[in-house]
Amino acid sequence: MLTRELLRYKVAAGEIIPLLLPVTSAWLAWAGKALELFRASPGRNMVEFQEETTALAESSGHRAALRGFFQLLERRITLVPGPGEDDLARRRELLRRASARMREEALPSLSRWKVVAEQELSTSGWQGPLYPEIPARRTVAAFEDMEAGALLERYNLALVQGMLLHAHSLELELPGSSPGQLRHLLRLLRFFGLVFKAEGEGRRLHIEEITEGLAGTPRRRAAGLASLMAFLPQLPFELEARLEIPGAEPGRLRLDGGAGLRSSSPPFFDYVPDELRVFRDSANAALRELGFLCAEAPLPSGAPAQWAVPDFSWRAPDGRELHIEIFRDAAPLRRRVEQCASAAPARTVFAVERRLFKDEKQTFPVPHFTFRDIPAPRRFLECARAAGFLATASEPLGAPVGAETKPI
Amino acid sequence: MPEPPLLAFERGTLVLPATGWDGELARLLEGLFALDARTGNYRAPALCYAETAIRLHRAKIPFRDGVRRFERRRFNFTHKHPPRPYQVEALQKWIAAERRGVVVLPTGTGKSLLACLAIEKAGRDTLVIVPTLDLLEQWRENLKNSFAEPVGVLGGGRREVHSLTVSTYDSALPFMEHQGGRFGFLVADECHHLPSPASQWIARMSAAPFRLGLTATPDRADGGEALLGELLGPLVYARGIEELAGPYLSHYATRQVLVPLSAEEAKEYRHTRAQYLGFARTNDLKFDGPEDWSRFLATCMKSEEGRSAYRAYRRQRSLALSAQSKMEALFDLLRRHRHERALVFTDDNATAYHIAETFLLPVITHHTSGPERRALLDDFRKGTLPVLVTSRVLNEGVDVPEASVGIVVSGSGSVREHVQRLGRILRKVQGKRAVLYELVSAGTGEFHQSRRRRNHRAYQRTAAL
Repeated sequence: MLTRELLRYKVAAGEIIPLLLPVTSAWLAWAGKALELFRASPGRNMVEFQEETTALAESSGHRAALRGFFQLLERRITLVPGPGEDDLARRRELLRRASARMREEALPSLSRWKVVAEQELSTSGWQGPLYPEIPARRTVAAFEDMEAGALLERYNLALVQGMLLHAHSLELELPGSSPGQLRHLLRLLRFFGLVFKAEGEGRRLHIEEITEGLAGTPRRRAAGLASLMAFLPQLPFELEARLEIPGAEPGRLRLDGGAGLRSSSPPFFDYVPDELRVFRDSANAALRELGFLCAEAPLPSGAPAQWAVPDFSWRAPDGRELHIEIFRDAAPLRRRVEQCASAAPARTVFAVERRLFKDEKQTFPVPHFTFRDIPAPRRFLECARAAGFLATASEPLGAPVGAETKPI
Repeated sequence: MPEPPLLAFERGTLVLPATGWDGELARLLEGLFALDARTGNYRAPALCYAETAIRLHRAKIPFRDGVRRFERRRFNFTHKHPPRPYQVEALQKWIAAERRGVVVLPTGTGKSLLACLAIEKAGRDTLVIVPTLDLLEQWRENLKNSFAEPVGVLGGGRREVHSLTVSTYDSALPFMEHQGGRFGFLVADECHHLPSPASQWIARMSAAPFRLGLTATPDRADGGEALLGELLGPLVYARGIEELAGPYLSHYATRQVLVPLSAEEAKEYRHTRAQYLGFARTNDLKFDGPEDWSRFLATCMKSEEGRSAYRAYRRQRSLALSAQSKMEALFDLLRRHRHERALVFTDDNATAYHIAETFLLPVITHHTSGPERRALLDDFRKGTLPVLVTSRVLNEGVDVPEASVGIVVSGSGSVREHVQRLGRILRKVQGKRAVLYELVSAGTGEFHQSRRRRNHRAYQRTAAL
């Protein structure tokens, strides 16, 4: 996202309107100029290079927009790595020797010391600056190229992301979105701790009190809002946000699919925490005979007009489905268990942290299975087989560990 | 008989069901809880846990406690030396304030020992939060040596939680959101960092009834220290450097060294200063407080003239802070103290690296990798590298008792920064006499900046050289 000083918008009658860049030949030309500069950056000193980009931005007449381009393009630069361990050890040795000389010799002046320092550097065979690792001294190793049109798209998205960071509340309408898309979106909101209220079969979402602190930490909220905005252009959406940008009048930001925002962000499934990803990959490897379903319809929860959102789903060759929901907090688990008590969906496996066992008699009145934290795929398989899902063991499962796999 | 209400922990907040809220419960918890329209429940920051539990207990209203996940513990603190009188006094004051509060003691006077005494007295699962990875390591060692307990670590890629755990502020923040009821005692080291917009949520999302803040310098430029009372408790005890120098801290002196600008530097300084001040006058901008500074920046960014004025501001400041004659003065001081251990402080990394390359000295900035930093500090302690140059990263926290000379080449106008820098060289070592030099460009704005940062009792001994 763009930082605050680079946000370009106008305010009219309580509306905050982002100044998105149109895909015109003029703007494509400016984006092309910026890209040309960056394509020629490998091998150049970073500070000198930044001076050049600044000069171009200042002389362009579109200073904020070009600085926005540069802010985005700098993230696609890789710098030459700093000194390695051997270099650091050599440098430390050189510094030790120099310190000893400064301590021992009666040096009359700074200019005399500079001669000594030169001698030490040349004796040690040190090439180049003593501290090449500071960013100002580093050179550009590579630039990840992109097309001018893609840069304009990226800029527009980053502009809206930057503005959304100042949102106090959001309303989202998602007409025509598929259950799979909805599932991804809800998982995103849950993951980033954005508290939301869903209506209209989950296609109308209210995200409120974003900056009041009751919805997670500021850093996670920022990451959540940026990810949300990267995800939205992938489905039909209407967004209305109440913004309070410092230095501007509070106002409303309205956006929909007609704004022309595009995102090449990968589906949210790629953002799941490492531990979940490891589980998914291991389970996939173990459950080779089942097909992994990346974007399936939510499960009916049992309660009217409500549904559950499984974290992972697999489908057996005979068409039966295996879903897993993973809970890490007692409250949502309790609510889910209450739902299941009235109308339990078939073959649900609960993965639960050990600490939640405390009051298991009250909390888990349904005959399912509990795990400690993220289950090992092996135990997941054991339970799937015990539940009659897998006819035969396709993998050597090893000895079950009763203390951690606990049917209740 | 209806089941007592469940006081639950949810994402750093306390939640009570709306059912049965009318009547006594509502009156009792007024001011703590607010109706959360999203869920229909009543909600309060986890910070209010102790107050909520006390009010409910006193009113004999039964409730199911779903927040508390900490236990009573018996920690046995084994210390080599008996606590000093002021440490005992501070501990007593903290206990008298219902085991909540902030203690202000200078660097090197045993704040860690005081914290260990408090951990023993609190007898609850304890989380110590620290601002840097260096301090994380120091505290882990300290707790490991002080208690016969495994010590958990959150931060620097580790995530182990035990009854005694140390965490960085950064790692504690996401942890608290889900585990705010895990610890009954929260110790915030260098607690002047806690009121920052993000870090204050560590304290707000923690349900710990007992809290202790430790700092040498509670004041913040943004006035955020006023929040410490709410987050940790009242200021219960404070002693200054000047009160403890001698018996508990090294004797010290501070010296201001005035250096001239060269003729060329002085000419450019006058020109650039006149340019930015002229712009400020034309636009009716003043420099009386932090908001004025923001206004100046915002105005500068709106026009080419403004941006040019801002560049002029930066240039004149750089001329004053990095005057060539400061290098000569620094060389003289290094030569004069060449048999002692010295820390050289700068305001910015560029100057730090310039000094390091001119004098062939080791430098530690935020660009320095962890292993190299540890190796350099180790060499400094052994004396094989007797001088370290740093910008701001060693301002606070790092334990280098061997350092007896501090040389401030440049700095901000912050009293806190200046006192912290002095604190680096004051740790008591037999026979040590510490001295802090401050190099100031005469006839520039830096002179006034220096006067501002020395506006502290610890600097009453200053003499100009």
